[in-house]
Amino acid sequence: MSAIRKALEGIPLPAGAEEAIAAAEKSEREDASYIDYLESQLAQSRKETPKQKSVYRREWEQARSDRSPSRLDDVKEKILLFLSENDEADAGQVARGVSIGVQAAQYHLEELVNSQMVYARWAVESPIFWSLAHEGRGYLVRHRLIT
Amino acid sequence: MILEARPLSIFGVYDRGVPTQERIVLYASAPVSLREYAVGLGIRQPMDFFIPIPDCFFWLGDTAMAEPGWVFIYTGRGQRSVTRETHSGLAVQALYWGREQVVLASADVIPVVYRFDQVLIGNGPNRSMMEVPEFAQKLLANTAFSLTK
Repeated sequence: MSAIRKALEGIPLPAGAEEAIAAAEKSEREDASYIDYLESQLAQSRKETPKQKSVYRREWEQARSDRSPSRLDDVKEKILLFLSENDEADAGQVARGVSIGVQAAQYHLEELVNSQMVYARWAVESPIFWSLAHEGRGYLVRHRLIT
Repeated sequence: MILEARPLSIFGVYDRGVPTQERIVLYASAPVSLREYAVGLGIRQPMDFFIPIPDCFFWLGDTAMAEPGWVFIYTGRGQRSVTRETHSGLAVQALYWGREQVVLASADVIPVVYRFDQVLIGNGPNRSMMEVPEFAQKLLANTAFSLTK
């Protein structure tokens, strides 16, 4: 359970708060110090009045919504770029291509499959080959990582 | 020693010794409930016999295959998933054993599929030997003997 969920545990959340929390957990580019501050305020607010609680919660949600849509982390962007230059690759090739370990490559590739940016081709006699999906190509275009 | 495990059969072991790719491939020729099966490892012996390797046991999980298809058991870590095999178009259940290291690097290490027949479940309270007349008699006799010594 994340720190923010712990802080909010037992407090009824308004509509939309769940998405905001999930986005905060997912984002790897969040302003950690500000979030920490708000989390501490939220934790403190459990002992305070409902009015104070709602003020802190609103402030926290606003802080989340003000941020630009989250970007993928550097490694995932490098993987997408690598796959944009290579039609398909196995996890070992991806690992070498972006200079990370093969286990890490496997993890990031599965995450990218979950977000439909990459797809995998499974065959009995060959390793899993990973390719860039339309969504992944779209991500690179939207963020001007390819032209 | 080959026993029936139909409709599952061992299709092969691929990419032996390659991290993240090493896998045991099973073929299910008909719908099957995987919950009745587990995979272990053994050392190949002559005449289709094997010696089981201790502490190597992977239950295939509470999953059913509704049609013929493949079971890919990756020996490493990953996210269990359902997909399609490229060439046959058949369903694939991709399972991950979660071993820290590759386990099939040697060709003498072979996968073994177990199909459960009977299972003893150890969820009861411990029993006392005094509950079993045969044991109770011996227990009492030994106790009496040790007291007279």
